[in-house]
Amino acid sequence: MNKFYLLLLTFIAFDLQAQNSISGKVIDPSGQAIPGANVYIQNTYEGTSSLVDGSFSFTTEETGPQILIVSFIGYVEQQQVIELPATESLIVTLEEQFSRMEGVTITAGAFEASDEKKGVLLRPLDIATTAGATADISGALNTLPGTTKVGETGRLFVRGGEGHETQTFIDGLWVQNAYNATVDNLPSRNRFSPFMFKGTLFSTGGYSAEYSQALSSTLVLNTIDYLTANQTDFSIMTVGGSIAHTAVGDKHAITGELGYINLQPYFSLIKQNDQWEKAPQSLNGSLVYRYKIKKTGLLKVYVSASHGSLDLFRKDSQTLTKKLPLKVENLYAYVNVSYRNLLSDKWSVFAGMSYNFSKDDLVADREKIAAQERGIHLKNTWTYDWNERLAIRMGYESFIKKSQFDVVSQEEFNTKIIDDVLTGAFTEADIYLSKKITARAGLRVDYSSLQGEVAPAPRLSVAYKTGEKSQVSFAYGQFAQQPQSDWLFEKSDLDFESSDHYILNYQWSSNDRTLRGELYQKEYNNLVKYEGDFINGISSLNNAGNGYARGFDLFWRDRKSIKNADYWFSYSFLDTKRQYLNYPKEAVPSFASAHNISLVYKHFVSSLKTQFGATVSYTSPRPFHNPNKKGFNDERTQSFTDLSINAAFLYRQNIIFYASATNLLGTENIYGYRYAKEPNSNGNFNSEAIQQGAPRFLFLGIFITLAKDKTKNQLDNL
Amino acid sequence: MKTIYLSIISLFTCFTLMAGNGAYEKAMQKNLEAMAHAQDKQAMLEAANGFERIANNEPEEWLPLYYAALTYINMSFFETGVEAKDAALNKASSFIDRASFIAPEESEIVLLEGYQTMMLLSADPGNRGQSLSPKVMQLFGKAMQMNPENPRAYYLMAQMEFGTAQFFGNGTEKACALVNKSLELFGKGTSENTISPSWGEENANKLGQECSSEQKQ
Repeated sequence: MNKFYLLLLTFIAFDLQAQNSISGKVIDPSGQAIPGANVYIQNTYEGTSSLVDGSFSFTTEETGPQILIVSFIGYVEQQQVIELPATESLIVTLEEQFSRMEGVTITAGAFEASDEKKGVLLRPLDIATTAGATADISGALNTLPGTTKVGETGRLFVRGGEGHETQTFIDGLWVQNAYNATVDNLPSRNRFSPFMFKGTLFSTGGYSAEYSQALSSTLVLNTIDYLTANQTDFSIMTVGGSIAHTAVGDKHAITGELGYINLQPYFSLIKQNDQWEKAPQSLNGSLVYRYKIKKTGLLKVYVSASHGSLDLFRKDSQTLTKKLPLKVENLYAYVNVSYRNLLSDKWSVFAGMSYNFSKDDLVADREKIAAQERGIHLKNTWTYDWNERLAIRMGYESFIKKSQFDVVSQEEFNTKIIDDVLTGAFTEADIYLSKKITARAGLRVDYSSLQGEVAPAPRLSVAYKTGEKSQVSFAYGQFAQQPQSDWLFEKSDLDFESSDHYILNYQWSSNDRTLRGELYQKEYNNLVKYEGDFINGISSLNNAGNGYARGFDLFWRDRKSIKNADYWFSYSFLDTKRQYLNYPKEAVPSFASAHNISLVYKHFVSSLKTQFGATVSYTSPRPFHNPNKKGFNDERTQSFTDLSINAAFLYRQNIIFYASATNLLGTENIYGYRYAKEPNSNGNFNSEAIQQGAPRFLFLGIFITLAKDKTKNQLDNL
Repeated sequence: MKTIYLSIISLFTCFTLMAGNGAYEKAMQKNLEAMAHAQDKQAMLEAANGFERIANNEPEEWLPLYYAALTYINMSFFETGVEAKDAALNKASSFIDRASFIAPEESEIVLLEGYQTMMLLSADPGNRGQSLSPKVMQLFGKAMQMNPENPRAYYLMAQMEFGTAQFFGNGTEKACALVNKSLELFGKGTSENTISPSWGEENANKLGQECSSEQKQ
């Protein structure tokens, strides 16, 4: 019997295995405790978390040599061989792991609006709700620093650059005609709705080597990746209406939209300064398609087409005495197809194509003009993610452009054609040197078959984190752009125009407040110069023109101080002169103004479920040339002021009422003066003020979304 | 003597068997209790770390990853400020991704992803409401389609409806109908498996009380 009890005891002893204890402390290289770290033995469940003072202690049934693992987010996992039972307390030091998310982003010359990235200054919704813009992307961006308001065009003029010096890209692909068709001194709108985009990157200079053909700035728009719900959207507005439907499946999603705009009813109610025969009207349609390829790939297709026309009377440009018909009819189509995918842990690829077609038929000054522009943009970029600290991008692209300009007047028939293939290649590296320093260096080369010229363009930018909430960044770049078609029609072997940018930026931002200041210097070279004018003829086209633009911008945004309110203030100072085109001497160009101020204010009143907005803008006097006086561009207009308001009433979750008024006070703003091309009988040139189309622009709209309710079936069973 | 040896051997095998299979369930039970009783961030971190350790040892199981994510989502309630909430929710997201890789057809994981997105939305509703709201509804709807008997799906959908009703000043009938349906399904009892998801009844009851007090008015 004794033997039996001995045997039983040994069996029991097997079950009562020894409990070994492990204890110690988890710290970082500077000796500070790391609480909440996961401390455990490999291949077991046994472990614990470190306490507030970094200490840990747990027991285990394992013996002999074991691997102890200590891990905590943001730090490199530590593995240590220990011998159990442990004889002494362990000190484990964790090294910080570098993560790009915590690095500093380069802000010089860039304004990003995004729903996804951290630390952005604007969200796409901000663009749609800015008073005075009536949901026009360019209108809203005009309230940001670095822009000069040139109201008669409705386009973006950035830091002393002309409107065509800012180019638009959608999903990385070029948009040749981003603005709807118009005539001189009649503002146009950006063709694309801000709701299409998840992110907008507006650069005021120094932009990435990925883009080219824009001497001043780029507007990079990224469309929404995933359409999430089956829904139908309607809009009924004082200017027209639209209907759109989205159908979403597991892998595919498609949206179709149809819209019609006609300003005739509005013009008959509200008196306009111009004499209209047929108010602007347009019919447009678009299609958006998404196809998700496995887990990481996405194919995006965007197709848009529109037909627009307008007909008004304008004084003839020769003498400014007779009113002649001015008609425009435009046909436009745009296709954008892009594909991107992750090929491996490190490689990702993008390939895309855009097709742009625009045909304008104009009747002006008793001349018939037909202008046609076609372009294809092909682009392929590869990104290699070496590690957390280095990413390299390289790409190749091709623009195939064909422009044709036909003039039929009483005397003659004239045709001009340009056929050009622009090719470009670029490479750029994003270097995350540390948590405090990020650099981006790139090189780009462009070649034009028409001009027969190669233009290299280096780019460099660096950002340095000066404090927890502040940073300094610097950007330098050389930029090249093909001369406008007007000049290439006459002389096809002109050189690329070029500009050099130097930008210094300081930014301080907390969660709800941002302060940003930027200093810049731009040097223009190889600008087109010629002698003569369009009536008597142009001669001596060359690239001897030059110019400069320098100044500083200030931006302050505050979403905290006033409850439920969000406001931003921007001020831009610009000092610029050019000696280009047929300027007799160096002068301030007529689109430039020294001071531009905007104050944008938005306030949500929850009891009324309404967001109210107001924008105040001021632009200092602009130069214009008066041929009746000596000198060139020596005269100045008065300053421009505008107070615009808007209100969005969220009647229900899916019904929004929207009302806005631009230039509420009806201030008479004059942008400049048109002068007759030939003197009248007294030897003077007649003039006409270039004004707003009407003292005010009023807008009302209802936006309704009907979504297929997924819970409906479930509730019916209750 | 033979019988004694036999019984000793069977006792011994019993002990070893218990040491083998029960380990996973035992560890899960222990951490589930820790998660249920956690009242502060440190306690939640310990429970989450516990689930993470189990997950590292059981590459075929999605439940430990699921609960680690759920713990981090609950932790975000205790955090103040958008950045801190986002940090906890992003950690939850990494666990949800791992779990859905193992079990892509599991409705509880889809529902949890909707819950995590809903919490991201509530961290900064003014800015995220418009962009995240459709994603939340889509995920809840998908989970409901995958398993129409899941009480948590109705409870979470009700929570979302309550939020929007509050913001837009609409009635709460739809939300209350969903709460009642969820309570009905909770009442039907849980599955035999004691470690599969069974949370939410307490909170659903609280919502239900709000509904009945409103009806009385």
